[in-house]
Amino acid sequence: MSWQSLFFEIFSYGIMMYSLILIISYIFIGVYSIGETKHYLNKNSFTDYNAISSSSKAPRVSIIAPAYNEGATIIENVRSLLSLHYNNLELIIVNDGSKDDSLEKLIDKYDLYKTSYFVNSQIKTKPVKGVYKSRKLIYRKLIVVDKENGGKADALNTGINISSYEYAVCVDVDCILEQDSLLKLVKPFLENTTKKVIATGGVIRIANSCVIENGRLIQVNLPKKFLPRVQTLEYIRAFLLGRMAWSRLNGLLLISGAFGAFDKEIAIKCGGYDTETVGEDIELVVRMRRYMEELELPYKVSFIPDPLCWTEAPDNFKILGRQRNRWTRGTIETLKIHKKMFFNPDYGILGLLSYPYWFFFEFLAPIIEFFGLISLAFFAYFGMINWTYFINLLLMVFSFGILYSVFAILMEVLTYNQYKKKSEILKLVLTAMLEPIFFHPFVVYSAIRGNIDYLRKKKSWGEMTRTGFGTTNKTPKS
Amino acid sequence: MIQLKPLIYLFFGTSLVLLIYMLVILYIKNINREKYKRWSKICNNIINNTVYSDDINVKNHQKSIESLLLIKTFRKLITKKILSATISFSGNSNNSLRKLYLHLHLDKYVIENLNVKNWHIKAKAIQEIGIMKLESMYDKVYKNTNHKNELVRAEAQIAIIKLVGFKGLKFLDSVTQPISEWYQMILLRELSHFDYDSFNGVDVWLKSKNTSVVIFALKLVDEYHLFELYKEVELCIYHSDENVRQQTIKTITKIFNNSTSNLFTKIFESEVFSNKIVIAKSLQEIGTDDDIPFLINQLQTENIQLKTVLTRTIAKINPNNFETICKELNPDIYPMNLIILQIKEEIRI
Amino acid sequence: MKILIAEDDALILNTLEFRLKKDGHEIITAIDGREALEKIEEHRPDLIISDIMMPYVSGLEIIGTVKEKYKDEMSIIILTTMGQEEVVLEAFELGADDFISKPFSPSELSIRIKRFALRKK
Repeated sequence: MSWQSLFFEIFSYGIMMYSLILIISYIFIGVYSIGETKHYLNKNSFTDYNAISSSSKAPRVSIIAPAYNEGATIIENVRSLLSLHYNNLELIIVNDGSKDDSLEKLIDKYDLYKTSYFVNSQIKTKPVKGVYKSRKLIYRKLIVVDKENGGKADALNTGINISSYEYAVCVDVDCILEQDSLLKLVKPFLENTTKKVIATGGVIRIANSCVIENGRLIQVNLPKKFLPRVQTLEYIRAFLLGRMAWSRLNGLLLISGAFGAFDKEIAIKCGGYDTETVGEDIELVVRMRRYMEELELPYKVSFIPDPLCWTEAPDNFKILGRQRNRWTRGTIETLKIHKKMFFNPDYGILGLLSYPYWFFFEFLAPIIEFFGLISLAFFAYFGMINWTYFINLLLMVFSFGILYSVFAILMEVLTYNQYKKKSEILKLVLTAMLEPIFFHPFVVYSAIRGNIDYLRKKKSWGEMTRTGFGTTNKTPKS
Repeated sequence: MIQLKPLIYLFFGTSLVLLIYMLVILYIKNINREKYKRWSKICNNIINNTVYSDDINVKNHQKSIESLLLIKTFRKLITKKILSATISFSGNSNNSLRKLYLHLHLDKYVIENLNVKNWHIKAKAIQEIGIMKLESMYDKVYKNTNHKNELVRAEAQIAIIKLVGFKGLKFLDSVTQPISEWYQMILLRELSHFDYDSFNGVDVWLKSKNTSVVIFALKLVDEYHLFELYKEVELCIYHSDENVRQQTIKTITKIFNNSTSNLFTKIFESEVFSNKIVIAKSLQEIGTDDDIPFLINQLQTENIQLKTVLTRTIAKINPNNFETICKELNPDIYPMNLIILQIKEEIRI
Repeated sequence: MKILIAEDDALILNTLEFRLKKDGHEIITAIDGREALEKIEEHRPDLIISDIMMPYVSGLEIIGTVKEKYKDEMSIIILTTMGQEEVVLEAFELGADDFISKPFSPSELSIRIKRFALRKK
């Protein structure tokens, strides 16, 4: 046997095995998520959220919303956040050195004055220029922090330093939150009696083409453009199947940066958000989990399948590419920081399952696909390819992709049924069929770019502070 | 190599089946949505009339929806609506709604559901019994107060309180399963609907092996200012569980006497950090000038959060004298200079 | 009397409207805080009955805004849930005239409104 054909054999078997393992794990995720979702919906059907919406005994929550050049919408956004159904809260807006008139607008509208608030820098951050509060009684829950530009993670850390309450809820200021989203997000912290809940997250949905008035979602529509629509599908798959299954396994690694709640004490003990990575949201959850594992304390990261938060998804390839590039780098950086846990039994599920899954199927998948393609060209050149077999393999992966998407859409219809028209559902299914051809290659390409940029050590967060963080990490990976 | 063709057929085939299933579901859901709208109107009308007329004509209502009542989903809908109205209204309206519920014989189904194995149906039935105050079911519900499923037992505990008020708390004698913070809050809220009625057993619950019962008992002492239990509460401050100790500090602050601040200063050193903060905050309420030397002494801590809270406590105990005391607090050295500035602004407001 | 009811729970809103119309009042309804503020501008009601927890603009903000702008031209009754003394206190600080906690008796509310009507005259 020549070296080429030996190499070829290894290659085909490798790709084959990889695909099968991937498919099996997806089947597992799909099936396993059903139980969790069902359990949640059954439970939720008679939960009385009023119990804590206005109770003074409810846990105290600090909402932390970093803002960078959001002047156009900041007043509406703040107003919307102030009217969330929750009484025991403070709202901390962190103005991350905006170059526009965000701060002036806030000062003017909410009648703010500069306090001599002493910021306890438990987490190191860029300097704070001022802490503002309102002279008006009705806005006493509002705190506005003005600081030097330092990026999203740095802004969130500043918010955590200033927060005086037990739980920190980090949100993107431009997100549209459901009225009862805080109640739902806080509830898991009060529920568990045996394990400490360290973080909770909810479902992010895509708001493109939805009707929004004055910061409120009036009507849900399926995005009209192809790109946001594929992302809608991606989000449904990731949140309804992936996160639910991982939550059931208690192996969830990612609470989306767009809307998540943390036990503040533990977040601080872990050192807060890492400003050196572009994947600060996943990195923090991984670090908090690792911290709990190392102290051998029983803990849980909870996930809520209710759609709590709506956000605009990138609708052109340029911004989308940049976003995916950043997610890739965030993943690599996080995996690298915590490489000690790789198949390390000391870290339980986290080390034996979650981490390897992310390593093999989130980090390696695009790389394998990319090199698979290159090798394929190489073998084709030598005329070594069994085309029937190759096409069948491709068809199998393709058909499975569609099956998985259809299953996810079905779960959506059975549970929340946000898209009620038959035409919308059929469009989603059609999107599922087009995705592997018109969208997936671009995702792989962006991921490869991310790998290259990472290897070149491109200082990405510098770029981020320039462009703001309106569209960062709403990461819907599974 | 594995045969791929069958897999391809399998995947495509299953997708197709799921797709058809999905479309059928969607179709049914959309039809039901229309039907629900109609039904909703009928129900709202009945409920509106019930809530606002003193003498209701239940018989008429019953006639008009007799056939609909045979349909399970309609029964579910009207039950849900009656339940939510019953929660919102009190007095006469509340009584009328209960009358309506009984006249429609909706209680018949609740008994069926109560005996179901399926936890969420059972829990929902128990909830319904509580809201509609079906007193005859007391025993059946009580049996479930220590059920192994969290939701079933929690709903049973809540329902018992709804049925008999403070007397219902006797389930705390025997409950071995934990009661979550969430449900403790709901139980307290339910109790607040009743006029305070003296109740026994708190002293026993304070010694319960179930730590969540101890915490809940402490909250009861707190809520109803049970001064007579001071001694028993004091003992909990040496409990092995730090959450119990924390609640004890909070509770004892509410029923404090001359010796309380002394007790706090005594245990302060050995407490965990989060409880130190709670003690410092509690002293804002009950501390006196005598505690100030102790607090100043504790300011040597490196922890800035604790420093800030301690300084605030000193200021709140004697705001008028704060200016003078500040001189002893190293007011020129970081971070005390900044902390003092902040606190001064706070007490001025 | 012209009364504006702001309440996001449709059931309560409907039943209140039904009852108060029967009592002979002119009723304007709003299902959220923003709508309430707009309709207050437009209709200048004599009395506002408002829930505390409402979408977009909370009941507290309505009190603040109304009392600042119209002083005692309009009276405000707030609807709260049991066990939220702190919120009630906050509402009074802002200038609310009365409060009713849920669950409430519609007849009692009706009587309280009559009292407000008398005072107006």
